[in-house]
Amino acid sequence: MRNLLSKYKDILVYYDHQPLLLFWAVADVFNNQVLWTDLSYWTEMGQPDTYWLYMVYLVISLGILSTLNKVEKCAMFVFWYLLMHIFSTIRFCVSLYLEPDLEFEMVIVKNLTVTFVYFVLWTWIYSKMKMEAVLKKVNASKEDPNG
Amino acid sequence: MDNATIAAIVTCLITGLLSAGGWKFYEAVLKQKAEERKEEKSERLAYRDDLIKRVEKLEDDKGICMDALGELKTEFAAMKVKVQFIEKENEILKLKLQNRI
Repeated sequence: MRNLLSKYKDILVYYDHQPLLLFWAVADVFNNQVLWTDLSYWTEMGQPDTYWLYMVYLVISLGILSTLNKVEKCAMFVFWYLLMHIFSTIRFCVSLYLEPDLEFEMVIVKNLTVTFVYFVLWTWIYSKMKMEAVLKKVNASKEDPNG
Repeated sequence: MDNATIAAIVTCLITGLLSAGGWKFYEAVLKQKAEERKEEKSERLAYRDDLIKRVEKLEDDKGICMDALGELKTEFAAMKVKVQFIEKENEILKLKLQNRI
């Protein structure tokens, strides 16, 4: 059991995030509703903003895919993804809170738990990328004799 | 815009600002540490260069001293031989003087 926990820690601390990011971004692009529905579909459902939210997610996912070789720019897109995730989650939580006659449902707890795991995932990826970018920047300025 | 959206936007703004500030601060700390390490390294290098110069100078001095010692040894050997000859000559002269007497 201790070995397993230690392995979890090692995975989080030492393992690379790039394969995960690549597969996630590809899956996210193909799963994006902008590709499979149009604005009128969401307007009929009474959620036209959701279409644009998906559009932003699509742009960010494509941005991640196109900048995987440049860690600083990729980290920026990951940060935007994280912000979008926070935005959606907070919006959902506040809506739940403001809804007066809300009944407790297990599906809400499940959704919030999954969202929290995603939040940890994106925070972990962003921290790793940002750390790499910062260290690169510091090392570059250290090697530069003029800087 | 409903309250939920406004709250979400405000949270995102705060998160964004705090994150940007936090990373800037972390970068500054890392840069400062790197500068300190660089200074320490340059001090060590300066000390090492100074030691190299001092060793070179001492090696040169040692060479000069060894040459002088060589010369002294040669002169000492020549003197020793001379003294031996003089002693022998002195003995001979002493014997000659005794025979005359």
